[in-house]
Amino acid sequence: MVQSRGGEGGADILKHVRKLTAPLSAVFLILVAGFAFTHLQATTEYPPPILDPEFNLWVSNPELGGMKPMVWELEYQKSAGDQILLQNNMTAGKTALEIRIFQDGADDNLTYVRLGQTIDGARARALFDEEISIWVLLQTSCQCKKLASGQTVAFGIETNDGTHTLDYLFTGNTAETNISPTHRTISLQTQTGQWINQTIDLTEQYESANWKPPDRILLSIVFGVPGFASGWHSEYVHGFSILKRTTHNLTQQNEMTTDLPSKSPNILREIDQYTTPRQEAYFHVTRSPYTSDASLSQWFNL
Amino acid sequence: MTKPNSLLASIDEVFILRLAFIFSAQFALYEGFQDYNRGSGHPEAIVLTLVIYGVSLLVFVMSLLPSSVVLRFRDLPLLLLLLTMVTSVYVVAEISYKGAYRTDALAFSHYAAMLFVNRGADPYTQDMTKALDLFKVQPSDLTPLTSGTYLMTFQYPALHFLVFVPFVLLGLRDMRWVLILFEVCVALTLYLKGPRKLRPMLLLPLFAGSDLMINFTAASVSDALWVLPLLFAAFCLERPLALGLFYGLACAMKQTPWFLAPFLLIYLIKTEEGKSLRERLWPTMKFAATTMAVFLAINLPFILPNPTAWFGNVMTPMTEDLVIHSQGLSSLTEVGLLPVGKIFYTLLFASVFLVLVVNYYVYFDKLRFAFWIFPGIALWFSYRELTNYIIYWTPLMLVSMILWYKAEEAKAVQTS
Repeated sequence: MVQSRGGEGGADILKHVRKLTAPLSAVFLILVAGFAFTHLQATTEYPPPILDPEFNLWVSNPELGGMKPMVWELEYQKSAGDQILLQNNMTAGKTALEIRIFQDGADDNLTYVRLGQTIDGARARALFDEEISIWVLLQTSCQCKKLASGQTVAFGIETNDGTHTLDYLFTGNTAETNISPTHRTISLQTQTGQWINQTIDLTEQYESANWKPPDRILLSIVFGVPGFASGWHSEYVHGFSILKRTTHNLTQQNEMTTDLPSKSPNILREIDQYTTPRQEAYFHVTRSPYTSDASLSQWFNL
Repeated sequence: MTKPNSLLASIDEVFILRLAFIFSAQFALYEGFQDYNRGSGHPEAIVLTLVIYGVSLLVFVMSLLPSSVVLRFRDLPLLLLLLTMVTSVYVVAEISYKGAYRTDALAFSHYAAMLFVNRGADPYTQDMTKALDLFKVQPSDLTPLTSGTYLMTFQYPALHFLVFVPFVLLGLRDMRWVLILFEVCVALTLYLKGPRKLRPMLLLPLFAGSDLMINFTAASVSDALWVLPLLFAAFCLERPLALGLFYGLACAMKQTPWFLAPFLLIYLIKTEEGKSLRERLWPTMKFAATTMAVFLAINLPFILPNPTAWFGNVMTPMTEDLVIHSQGLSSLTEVGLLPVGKIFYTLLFASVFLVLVVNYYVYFDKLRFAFWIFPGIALWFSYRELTNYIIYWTPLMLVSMILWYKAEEAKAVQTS
């Protein structure tokens, strides 16, 4: 009798368990989701804006021979006698992407290399929330012919959102800047022969130009050697890193543009002071699908 | 006069067969057109498209021929679907992708097998970067980490590369054909194990779209490797030793089947309900011991020399800084609509998994065969949920349907 009652009790418990498990499960899941949403809003782990920022991944390059960085899309232009070589080596104590160009000087055509990656979605948003830091090493001046500006080669970072182009030119010479409605060239004075860390703030440029931050942008490392500069030329990039923005936010930036001479960083001050000098040479560059009217050719056609 | 076999066959059976004829012909026509587009005018693709179109038209006609003809060629839909599958995989893999692997997983596994064969190397201690070049993997097909670098290690249990070793020795250059072999075996097993008059119906869920049997495999998704041993395991649910053997093999292929373990244990305990505790635990222990023995027999030679490397690599999805990438709930975060971190989804996944385990135990009588999709449901809440984490459970659910049908049939015979 007692056993029977116990059995009935067990059956009752089981019945209750069966009755309650499903609704309690639903309540449990709602509570967990609610708790997680309110207490665990950690930083979202998006991939960083620039992938393979230190050029770790290399694959063979059937077109040019040798190797090329895998994630960075390669585009180039060269004449028959010119040579382009990409390699990963140790230069002045840092691992580096070395871009080497041999200009045979047989014609006036520019030889250039572009290594780019398209940045979109969350990565593009992050790119405009942060600053890009880049380590570069400029070759020491070559014995070749130079432009009146002293410029021999063009080496820099280019961004292109399909409408607007920003060219950050690493130059050992006097810094120059150039502004047009859809294109800006910012010269970053860079000492030759040693590793220099440069910082690029795209938001700053976009805000001061009143351009809308894009959903998609192509960021490229560009190295071009004009036809007159015959011989071997090398430029080096150690890598990119992303930094928290240190410059002013949008409101501050707008205020700042009215007060450029005293408060703006060097680049903007130079833009303000810059008057484009006409150089003696014009080098025609085939337009890449990513390149707007104002791009590489303008670096040489200032 | 009508032939005797068609007289014996039920009207329903012939109707189902005709339907299967039309379905397979229609699927072949669809895939033929896809191949025409995928091939972009490649002569080989055009010839294959013509062959597929030709067979498809023939099967269309046959679907409306007298019942005797339909019954004589009853297996034609299966053959046409398999022919279509192989043709499409060839066009996608060899012509459209030009032989390039579209996942780092297959590239790394193939390369690991090569390293093992040629140098006797332990793939868990090797850098896999060279595989990207060797198998022309595209940057978009890599697994990015939050640091901006990419995963360059072999991340699966050992059978995931050991399975390719014989084919490396035979000189096979594209391991997608091994995956296809596994898929064909899956389709054939289901077909042959299915109730004879309903066999064609079992093919429908497999070919309800092109992803499961064609696109994923052509794109180098390697899940077919664990589906086949798990399929065999599913047919052995009442035999703990065989179940343990095949489940151990499935677990030694990839991590995905690991999520089934608690459900299988509950299944074994609950099916023996009414028996003494010892009688209930004995088959469960036999299953667990066999599974562990098989898994360790395959993996121990790689665990012992370097346990840190093995555990580090195999636990990658749980420990590495993989970025959120998903067709599940976390896709909201991926596009910036729900700004939460991985921990949010990990907690959600663990909670859903726990709820499923508890509910499976409590409502076993109702959910007995439903557990095959439970890992897919839980993974849908994780921070990395790709469609292949769900779609590859389909063949397992078909096994449940077959077993259920046979049990009901036996019960009906007994009653009558």
